[in-house]
Amino acid sequence: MLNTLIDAAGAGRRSVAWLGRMMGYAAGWCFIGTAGLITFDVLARRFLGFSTQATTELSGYALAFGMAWGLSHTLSMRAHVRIDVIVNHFPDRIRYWLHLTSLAFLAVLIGYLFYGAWTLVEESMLFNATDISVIRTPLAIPQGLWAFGIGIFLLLILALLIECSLLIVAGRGAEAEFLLHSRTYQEEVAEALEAVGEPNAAEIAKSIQPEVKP
Amino acid sequence: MIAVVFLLILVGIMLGMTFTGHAPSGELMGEILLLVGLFVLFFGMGIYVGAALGVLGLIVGYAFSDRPFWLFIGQTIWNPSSSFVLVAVPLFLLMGEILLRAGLSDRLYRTLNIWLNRMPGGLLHTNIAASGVFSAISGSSVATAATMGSVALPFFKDKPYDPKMVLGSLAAGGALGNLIPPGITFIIYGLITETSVGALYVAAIGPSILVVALFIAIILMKAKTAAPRDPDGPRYSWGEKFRSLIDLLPTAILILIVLGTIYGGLATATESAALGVVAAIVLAAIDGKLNFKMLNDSAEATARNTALIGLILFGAYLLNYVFTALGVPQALAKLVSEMPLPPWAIMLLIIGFYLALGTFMEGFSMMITTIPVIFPVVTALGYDPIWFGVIVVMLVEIALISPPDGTVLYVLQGMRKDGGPITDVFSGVLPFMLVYILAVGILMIFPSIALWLPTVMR
Repeated sequence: MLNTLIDAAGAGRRSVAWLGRMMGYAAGWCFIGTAGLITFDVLARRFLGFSTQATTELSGYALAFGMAWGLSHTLSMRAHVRIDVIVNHFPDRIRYWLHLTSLAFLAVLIGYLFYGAWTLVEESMLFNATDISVIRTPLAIPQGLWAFGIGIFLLLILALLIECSLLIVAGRGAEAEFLLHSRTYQEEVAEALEAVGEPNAAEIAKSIQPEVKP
Repeated sequence: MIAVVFLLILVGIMLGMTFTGHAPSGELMGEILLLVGLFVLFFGMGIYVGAALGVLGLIVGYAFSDRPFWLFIGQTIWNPSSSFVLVAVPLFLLMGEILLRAGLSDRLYRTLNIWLNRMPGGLLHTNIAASGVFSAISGSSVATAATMGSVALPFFKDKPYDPKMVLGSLAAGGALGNLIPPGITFIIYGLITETSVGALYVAAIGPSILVVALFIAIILMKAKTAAPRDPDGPRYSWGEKFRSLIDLLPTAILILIVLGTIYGGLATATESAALGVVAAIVLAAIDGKLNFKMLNDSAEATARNTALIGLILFGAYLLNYVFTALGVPQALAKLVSEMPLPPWAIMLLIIGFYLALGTFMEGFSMMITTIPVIFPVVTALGYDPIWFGVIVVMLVEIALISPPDGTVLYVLQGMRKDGGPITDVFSGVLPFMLVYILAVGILMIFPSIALWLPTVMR
């Protein structure tokens, strides 16, 4: 019974995570586009004598979009910052529950933030608020996309919360920890070495001992 | 360990002052201690830093504020989310990710080696220079240590260098990245404190030169024993030397574009970051390294690291909104300025506090968490905001390489093949760390090292 539930929760969590992953890539490409837009504006201003006069606003929206849409993927990659120096010294049972508590805190915060973001979108729609740039962007559009990113993040947190609680109750806490623990040095080193094209990245990273406190 | 001891001492001093009646308002002191206690508890439990800050903000808001603060949450976090200043952060991160994948590190090290090889201290200078340049590009200290370790360590195989100094100089070089402009830490500081990022970059020039000069001095002092001259070492002709410069040309052009436009007043930090991204893509394309996978990987890493900073900013802005509504920073500033201690003593305590905190907290989180509260105190004491920005960034960097906690040191230890003990890395980095702290001291006595240039250029 419990295992069926876990499987179902896992499937749900994975589909939200997949969406979050796609959104993460969209966020990244959005930053590449922003770089292009700003560069174009700088060059046009300098050499062609005109400016889009909306670049400041548009790049700001791109940041809000990118920041919010990247949140879920970052959680799936376990890259949100936690301080785990003390946590790692606790016995398994306590540690699993601490991981869950940490996630619950995140759910509370993001719940409030989503509520706040959504209220803001509603207000912008109500007053037909626009920015002061030449294109008079209706603020509800960038704010809506931003709120959507936060909403999916909340959904992913809740899905993870359900799946991991079930896992811990079922005595499979190690699997929950696998989903929640923060990134290790080995993972970061492997990523950096892969990026510079080191062929044995994974092996070198594996040979690095975890930090041992004296 | 050192960190915990220092923080306990700090709490002890605060408690002591409360009981001896030196603190003007004991009640506020109690509340502050309660908050600090909750902070420590949350962080100790491994709560996500952003969530710890934000939830604390909610608790404080519900407990002490009689205004419906939750109505303003949306606006409070929308403002930093869409700030043009902050756009520079993902753009600089993106530039670094692209350059990381463009095969820069290897060539950089080889060229610098050809030029610095015959200096007393030889490759040790190359370590500092290459690590410094690379960490300025990459933004992540662990990534810097890993890449520099993999590029540099093979050069030292079968050479009579002292492994302590080799590892120490690699770690120390990595601690220059955020101080030498354009670092992302300065942008975050500028955003939170509403100081000019450009002015911070200008102010960082003097201190950067100071620290680099001190590092070189350390190597020259130790050159005789740590880096004996290798009579069989390769000699390069001037022709070869100048030809090698072609490899450095892309880096030089990039630095010129990014820093030149900022310092020349032609572009804001955000604009020059955008130019840097485009230039990095062009350079990668010239090298034949540009492809979809590479760009896609860079995009992914950028999105991840931006969201990571974003979550912490959300929590911090929420907490800060509640704090400001309650007048906490002002009250704290007043409290501190009424303490029976001279400003420099309080500044020393703040510096110690950052050094301690930095041993287990990574730079961004530390800054976003503490600056909103500490900054009003610092300005109330009469210190210059720009000067303090430079000091904080230096402290963040020192924390990165302070044994026995610095992450970078463990990564380097893992990269070496000779199987020596970790204490080699510790004792190797120690002299560099001490002169870095010395540089902070010098900057305290002569603030004009940082502040002279901004006034001249204004």
